[in-house]
Amino acid sequence: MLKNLQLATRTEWIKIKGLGLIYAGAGLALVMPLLKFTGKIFGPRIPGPPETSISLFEDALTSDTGPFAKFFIILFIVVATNRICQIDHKNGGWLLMETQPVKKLSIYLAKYLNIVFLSFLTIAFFFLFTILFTALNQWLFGQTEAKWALSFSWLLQDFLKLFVSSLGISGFMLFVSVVFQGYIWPFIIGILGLVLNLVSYIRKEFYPYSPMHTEQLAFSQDIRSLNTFFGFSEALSIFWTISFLLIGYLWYSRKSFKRAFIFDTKVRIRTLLMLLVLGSAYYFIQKPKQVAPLAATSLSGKLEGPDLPKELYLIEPEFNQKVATIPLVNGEFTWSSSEELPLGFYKLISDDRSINTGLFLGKCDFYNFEVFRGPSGDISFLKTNRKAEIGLQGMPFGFEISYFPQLFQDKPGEYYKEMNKAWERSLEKMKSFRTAENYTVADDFLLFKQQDMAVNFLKAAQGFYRNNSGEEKAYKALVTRLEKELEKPSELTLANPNYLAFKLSSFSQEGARADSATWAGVSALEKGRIKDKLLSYQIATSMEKLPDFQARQQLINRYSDAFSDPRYTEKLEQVLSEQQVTLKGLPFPDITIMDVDNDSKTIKDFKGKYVVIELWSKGADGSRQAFRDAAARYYWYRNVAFASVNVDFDEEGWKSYLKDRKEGQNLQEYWLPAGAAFVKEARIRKLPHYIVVDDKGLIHDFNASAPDRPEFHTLLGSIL
Amino acid sequence: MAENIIQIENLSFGFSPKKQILKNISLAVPKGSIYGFIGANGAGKSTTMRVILGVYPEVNHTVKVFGEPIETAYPETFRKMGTLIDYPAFYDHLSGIDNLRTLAILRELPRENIDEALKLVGMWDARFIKMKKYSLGMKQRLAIAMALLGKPQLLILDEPVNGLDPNGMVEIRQLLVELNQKTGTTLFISSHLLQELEKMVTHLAIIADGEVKFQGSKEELSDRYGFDKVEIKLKNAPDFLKYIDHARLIDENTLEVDTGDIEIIARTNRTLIENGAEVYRISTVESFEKWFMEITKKN
Repeated sequence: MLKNLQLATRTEWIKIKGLGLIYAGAGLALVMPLLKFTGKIFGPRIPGPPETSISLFEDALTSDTGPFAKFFIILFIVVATNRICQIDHKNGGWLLMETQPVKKLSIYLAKYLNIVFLSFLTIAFFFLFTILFTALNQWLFGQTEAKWALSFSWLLQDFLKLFVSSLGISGFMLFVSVVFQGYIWPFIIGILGLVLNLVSYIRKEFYPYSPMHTEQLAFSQDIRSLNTFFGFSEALSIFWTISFLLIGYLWYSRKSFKRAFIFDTKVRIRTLLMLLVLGSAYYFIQKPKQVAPLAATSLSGKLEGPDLPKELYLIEPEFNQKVATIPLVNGEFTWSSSEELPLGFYKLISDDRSINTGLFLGKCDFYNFEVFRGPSGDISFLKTNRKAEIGLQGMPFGFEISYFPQLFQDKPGEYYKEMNKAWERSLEKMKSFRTAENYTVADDFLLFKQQDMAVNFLKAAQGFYRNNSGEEKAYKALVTRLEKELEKPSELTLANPNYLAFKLSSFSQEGARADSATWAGVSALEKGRIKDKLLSYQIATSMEKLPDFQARQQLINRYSDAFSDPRYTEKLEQVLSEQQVTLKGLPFPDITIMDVDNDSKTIKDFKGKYVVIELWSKGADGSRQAFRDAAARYYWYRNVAFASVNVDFDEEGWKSYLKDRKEGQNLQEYWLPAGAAFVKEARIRKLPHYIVVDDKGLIHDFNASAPDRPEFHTLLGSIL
Repeated sequence: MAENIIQIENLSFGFSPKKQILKNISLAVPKGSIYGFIGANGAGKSTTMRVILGVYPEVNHTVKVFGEPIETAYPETFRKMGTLIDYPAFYDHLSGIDNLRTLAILRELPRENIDEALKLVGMWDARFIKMKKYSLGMKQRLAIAMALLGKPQLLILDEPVNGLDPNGMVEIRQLLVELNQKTGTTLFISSHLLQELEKMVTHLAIIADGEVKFQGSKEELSDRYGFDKVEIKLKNAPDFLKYIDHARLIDENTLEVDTGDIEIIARTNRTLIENGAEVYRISTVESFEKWFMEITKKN
């Protein structure tokens, strides 16, 4: 059989001579690298990858593999398969082959192997061209020192995932191209598959039932973050490969659907068995899974880069206390614990940086980090059993209720009806959510998200009811339904600020006395866990509204006896001490900055003007244009100045950066020596960071919104 | 008893059990024969050939080639066979020689076989030209070269001279007869061009509406349906029917007479004249054509 297959494959290879398929593959593989290269020649000269890049080639391949996998390689398979089958459809080629000393199975498989080999070549071309053009780009246009290293295991995984995920598509297209003899139908079916992929991309949904969808699944997240080398997409691809090779071969060799599948009782039984086996396999493969947790809670990983910390700290969410101190040895760390760990959003931090501030962690969960540290930011990849929870956290469920009030103004009946529908729809979507790796959300997190959504729906419904009278019965039915969801708030819900704010607001009536009613309501609660959580939240949010340190301290003192757990008072004290550094009304730290002419300046020198400060680094310079736009917009206001301050370059690097971009003319550019130390001291977690200092040199807003946000302009409006 | 290269016994075939294309067909193709398989378009010739070649699946073990059931004989037995079914099968984006190469690889044949086959059908000079530039006749020749590539013991040819000009037809017919005579290759040839086969076959079968109406040697056909007939045009034909043996009345002015040899024609003519008949014309009946019409006519 093997020799037979080998001869058939050689014959098929000769048969594709002159069809131009290798050139077509090379051409499609060239599109993305060439487009980028052309963009570099004619487009703006943007500097090379920032220092936080892991590898020049890995960056290029990661950004280009998506479009190539989701479109170009599929297009190639559609065209190549169709073309290969047409040469046999057209001039009696099947008959010619079938009357030679070669098995029909060999003929069918030989075609498949040739398509697979052509796909392999096309993928290889893509890798080759991407690497070559990336090197050429860097050589011709590179403005910063590039990282040339390329991990072989990463390259192999990327290549193999691309290749294995294409196998099912080849199997499907071969089946379609053999069964439908014309050129048009296989092409239309192939294009429909691509359109379905586009729809799934836009709607952020996965369609595992589409055999053309495997590539899209494979590259829906960075491969460094995948829990396993091969995963769901590859399993599906292999399933489609086997299914369509089997169905296609039977159909082809028996020459008609009837003879292949329903000809007589024997054939029907075989078909039934086949359907049963394939159907069961599909059911088990596509059934969403929860990653099995480990026997103990486990955190591990490695950090790469300069100035690595000696240890990491795991901070629990309730009282911000250290749960564990994890030593870092040669950049690697590992920690595990079989102790009960309350479910919550933990922080993993070092003395100077955060590794992760929203680590959804409970007993027996595992996280594995791969962090590449740069002076101005980290690139991190995460393997965990909580993939689905991380994915669900970022999904906007029930967002449509935000425009319902406008849509159904004066139509309360329709509003409540649509709210009910939106609730059902969102709930269903939430429950059926799965990641590209086919992981589904655990019940604990699902309940938390469900209750969070119930809060949002309740707030929206109550707001609508206040402004639109009528349909009271429908309103009450909806509220009762939603309140039922919140009857037993989970531990996570009790830690959710959204829930706490909603709960506190339920104590008050609308009007001027709302705040005092809330205080009265929360004070009247029976001492215990729920009161502790609500009261601490109420105090923390109220503190922000108080002008000075003393008033805030007094507020904490006033309620310190109301807590059943004294740790809540300690927590509030800690919050206050952190606020002290950046508190509104305190003098802005006395830092000295330099301009491009080497003139030193302090913020005090701006006295008489409000100063809007942008702290940026070379890895976080993406919003500089927005800041420049804002500076231009407020240029004519005499009581405000804009200062863009770099915190990570050396002096020469900063100047050449500005010179390369011809920047600095329309904006006051500054450089802060030892900027990294200031960022650390001021507990600034993320760059770029925006600060407004008032005309007396006092902090007005240490955490101002970004200039592309409406809140930024509201703030400016209030001071101008 | 002569060895049969192809043996079919009670073959029925259809794409659905209710609609049978071939009905209870039996055929025996003796080794070394040139076996004509005649039928009108749609009679079932190509389907029969495809079943014989295993292209259409036959599950009742009714077909044997080289004494072996086709279920087990293929694909290995194809090494001893050459085929040309329906119309020349080829890859028109490839040159003539590359088309032959595809088959040579599958059959594990040396390059010499390709050269030999190309020369045999007179296509050597056009071997590097892509087949899409070939004329229909050139394609037909190359298809025959493809069939002859493995020096087969059995050639199954469906309409092999289709598309050839008259000279080409004669050449190919001569080639096939020579092949049969020199190498003993058995030829199983289908056609609806009756005159073509009449001149070369040793055996034949006639198929109509999925049923074999006749099969046997040329002599057996002659015995059964009468070989050599003449048509006599004369005045008042019914009056003279009683004077002549083996005669049939066709119409008012026509008699058809079975004649063994030319003496019988002379004697019949004399008898008619002697009895006062006014004979206008005596002509031979186109034998195969006539028989074919008779045998395949529907009830």
